[in-house]
Amino acid sequence: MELLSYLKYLKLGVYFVLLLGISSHFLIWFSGFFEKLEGGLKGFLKGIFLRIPFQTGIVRLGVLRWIAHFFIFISFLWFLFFYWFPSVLKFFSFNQRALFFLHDLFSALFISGIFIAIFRRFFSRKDTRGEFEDFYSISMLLGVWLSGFLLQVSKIQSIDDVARRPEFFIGSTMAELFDNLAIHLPFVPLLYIHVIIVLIFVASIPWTKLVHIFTLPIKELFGGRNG
Amino acid sequence: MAEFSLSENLSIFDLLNISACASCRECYLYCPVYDVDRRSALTPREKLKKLVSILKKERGLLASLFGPRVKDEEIKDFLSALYECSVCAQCREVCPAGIDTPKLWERIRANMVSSGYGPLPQQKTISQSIRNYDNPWMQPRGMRGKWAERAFKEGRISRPVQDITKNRAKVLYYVGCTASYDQNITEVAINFVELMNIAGIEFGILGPREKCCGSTPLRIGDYATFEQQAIANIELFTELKVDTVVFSCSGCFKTMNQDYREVKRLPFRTLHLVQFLLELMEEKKLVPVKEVPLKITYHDPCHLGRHNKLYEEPREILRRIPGIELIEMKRSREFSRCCGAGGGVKAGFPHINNAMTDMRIEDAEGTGADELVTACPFCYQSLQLGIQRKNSYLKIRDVTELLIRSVK
Repeated sequence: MELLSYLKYLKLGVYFVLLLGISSHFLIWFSGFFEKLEGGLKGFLKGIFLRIPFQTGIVRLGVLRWIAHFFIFISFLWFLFFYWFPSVLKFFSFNQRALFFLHDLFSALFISGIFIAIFRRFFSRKDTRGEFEDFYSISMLLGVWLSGFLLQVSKIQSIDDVARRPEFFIGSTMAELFDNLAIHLPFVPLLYIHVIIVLIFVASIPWTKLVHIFTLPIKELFGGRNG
Repeated sequence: MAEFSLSENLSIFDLLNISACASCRECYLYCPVYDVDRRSALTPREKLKKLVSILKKERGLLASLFGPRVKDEEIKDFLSALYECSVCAQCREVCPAGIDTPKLWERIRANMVSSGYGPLPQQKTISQSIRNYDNPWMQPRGMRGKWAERAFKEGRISRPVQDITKNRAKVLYYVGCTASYDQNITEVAINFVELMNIAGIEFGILGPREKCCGSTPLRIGDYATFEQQAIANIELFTELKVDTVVFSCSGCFKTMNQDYREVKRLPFRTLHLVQFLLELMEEKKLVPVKEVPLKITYHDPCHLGRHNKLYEEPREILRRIPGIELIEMKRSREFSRCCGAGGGVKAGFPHINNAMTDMRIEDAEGTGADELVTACPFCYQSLQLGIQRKNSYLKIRDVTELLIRSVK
């Protein structure tokens, strides 16, 4: 497990790269002059309660597209709080069963959203297929999910006593399936793979189209004619 | 050339808009300029990307530490893409992030002008002409109201049109440069005036005292000329104590209804003629009775539709005319394809304007309609020339032309 300690340094490096990218955006934003909010308070509230949580800007462009984006968006938020800011979820005092159920649910929504996005790129939006940034973003999301899921399965598999295994519906079922197939997923390599993919994903946010993960909500609150 | 800074004239919120692009390519699917010139640099997404890249070199972290490093060629390349856009707001309409691109392009164009990069050489004469003659075509001021005199002499209007500076009235008809000077378009003004006469409305025009609204200078970034025109017009209308100003041109209407309000408070109502005519129809002052058996399609002018959300008013007028069969084009209302005349494209890139108009005419032909109707003299002019150039079977009409046939 000595290698694991190096990941801490990698994590620090990732934060630095992230900060570097985001700081350029902040410097650009604050070089502008202040003007009255076009959407005013109404626009701000519309941003908080409508445009950000329900992605209303996308819904009129197609239901399938909205479903894909909304699924990815809400499950991304879940994973963000679950793994990076768990104290936020503690506030809701979920019991373990509910927590596992929600985790499974968002995991399913996440991968469904990605599959719909991929499906659209083969049918309704063939024009986006040659785009590196688009390919990269979807691949990273898929990579984060897949490595994370396999990691969870391997973690469950590592508990020999089936009765003591956590009750993740999808994860536990998959662990059982792999057990039956006599496939034992290697926990440590999967941990490295997952952590490295997540860190690359996080570091690349300000430098790719993924930057809209944080710029768009800020814009929706303050910078839009629609708030 | 003045020291250049792209973000000079931009607010925090404009800059937030620039970095909010999710690169989804939705604008690629709808941009009417990209439909005729397949260079991706022209698309809103690529322009936003380029902007972020230039802004980073100008104001980003490295620029803050070591100084800006934007190359002149980069600005010039961006300038060309920035001006090859009719500011039709189609991209804003389809952008899931709701990025206010027209406002951005206009503000950045203003930066380009104040730093000496813009406007394009072909566009400079427009501002000069407006400053010298109060119209973009170097026509003498005295000729501005001649259409009204001629129309009365020819018996095309039942009463002489009043000069509002001499005979005060509550309603001012602001004719606009295109309908005043272009012989092929004065028809729009004549029809509207006669509709006002039929409805018994006391109104007047400014004649030689009418000044260009400043729309084109504003779109090409010449804010000084726009502001000069705006202040002169607002002061004149205020001095005349008019209650309502009615416009036939969607561009003039957009400019006064929205952009003038950022310059000064307007103590009068601003209405496009489709709104005013519909009010008169509601009050039964105009009742379409005669059958006009025509199969038509309607082109939404960008400044009336997307910019002012007036989609239903012109359609409602057309629906109330007996005999009219309105067939919608595949791209209508908020998705209406721009005719390409606006935003300085007509002067700066006439071949792009022509190609865009041609596409719009093909859209109209695709409906099987006999006539193409619009509610803007500027679109009318562009579509009329396109119909001639393409030798299309379509006839171009203004909403007023069909209405007068039904009420007269």
